[in-house]
Amino acid sequence: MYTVIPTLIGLAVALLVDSKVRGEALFKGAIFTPWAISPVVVGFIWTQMYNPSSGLVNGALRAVGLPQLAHPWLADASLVLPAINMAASWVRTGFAMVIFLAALRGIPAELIEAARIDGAGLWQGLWHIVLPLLRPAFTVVIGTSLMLSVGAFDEVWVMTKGGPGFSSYLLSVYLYISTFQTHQAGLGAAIGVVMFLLSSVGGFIYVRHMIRGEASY
Amino acid sequence: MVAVASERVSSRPRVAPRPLRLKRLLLYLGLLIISVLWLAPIGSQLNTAFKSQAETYATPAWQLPQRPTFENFDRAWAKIQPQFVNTFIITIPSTLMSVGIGALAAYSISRLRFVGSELLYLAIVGSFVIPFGSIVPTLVNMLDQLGLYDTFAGIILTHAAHGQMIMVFMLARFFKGIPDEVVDAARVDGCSALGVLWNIVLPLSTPALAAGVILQFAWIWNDFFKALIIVPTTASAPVTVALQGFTGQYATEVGYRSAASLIAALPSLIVFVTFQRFFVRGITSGALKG
Repeated sequence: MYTVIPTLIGLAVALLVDSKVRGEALFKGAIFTPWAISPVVVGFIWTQMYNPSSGLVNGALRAVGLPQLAHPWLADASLVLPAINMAASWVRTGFAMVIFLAALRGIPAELIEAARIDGAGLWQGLWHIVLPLLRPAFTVVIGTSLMLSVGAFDEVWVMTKGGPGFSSYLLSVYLYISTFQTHQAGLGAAIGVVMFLLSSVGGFIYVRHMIRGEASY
Repeated sequence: MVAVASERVSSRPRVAPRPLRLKRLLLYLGLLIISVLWLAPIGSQLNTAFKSQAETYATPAWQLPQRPTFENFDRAWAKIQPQFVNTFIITIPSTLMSVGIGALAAYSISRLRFVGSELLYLAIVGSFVIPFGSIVPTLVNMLDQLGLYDTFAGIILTHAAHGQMIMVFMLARFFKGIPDEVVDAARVDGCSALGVLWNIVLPLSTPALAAGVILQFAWIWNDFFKALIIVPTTASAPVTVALQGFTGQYATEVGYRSAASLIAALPSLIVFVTFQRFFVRGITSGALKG
């Protein structure tokens, strides 16, 4: 889940932007900008967005007549992780878009034209020609996203410090607390090893791709 | 090509088939909606920062401030100014060191073939797999023994070292693309290895170096976790760590905190908006190009 949203929206936006729209730079800028904001600030921005009384999320829900959907997002144990995930997706979508867009621009126009001439419709062309050619981009986006998810700390620490209760107690939060607050350095190091093992799943795919440089169209 | 043709058609409404124009309209509408959604959180933060504490509670979040105030910014700036300066003290040398050392390392790995250079490259780039969190306990212990814990030197060296995997990857790849003849000619003319790097390779690599400097600047400026564990005290902490102090135990002044976080985000945002091209080139060259 934590990888799906940015990947799909990033891909969709890249495809839309790639169809020769005017104001491309503006649209790209809007979606890519969060990526340049410090994760801590992202955490504060979304803490404010989710603020039960003065936040925009609840404010918008009330404004459109759905006050029953307004929640204390970060204080609800069952909503806190999806809420944090939304904030992280907000950042990563821009990265996914940029990677997909670069890959799309690398596809020779003749390929798409040839498919067109052979009678492929828009969807057929997309499904049989474009998506397979985007495979390296998918590797990069999904690989980095998996790795980042394992190491995620900043936003979570700023927004919830692992709470409410232990509901957003991610590995990195556990590692920080055990190393620096409860002074169990051995436990911290052990969590570090677990994180490394988990992260190496996404990381291995990504690094192998980086070293091979398999992006040849 | 295909898209160009369709655009030409759509600009002549008489001939254009209707569904095509509708599609274009939907396309722009979709992009517009996503863009507005994506900018809304930043807009909301700005909006909150200009409201007084009383107004944030009295008015809905989407309403513009009735009496815009700079008070939040004034107070926030007064409080985080020292840490703002600290961030510069940390970011500038860290960026220069990581790109400088990265260039030297990438050059020797990609251009001076020596036993184990491939292995060294694999080791440096492969360390990308290791999440930073997992080296935290050892790193802090090591810095502590070196007497570098909670010092600028400690955090600067950490940033410079941690930047190597991506810098070596980006630069080595770029250096490899420089034709052998250019380098060989300089060597024949009596240039030393360092001379070649300085006089030939670096001037040819300005795009890659610029992308490296800008990426590193933004990443180091935005860093929170490394700073939190290495320089946690107010005397040496960067602005990202200082922001934590804006969340109160019981009540938080949201406008005040919004203003502080916007100030903290400003430098990297300015760099980003000015050099967006380099960002895109930096992250895509690192990720895609074979």
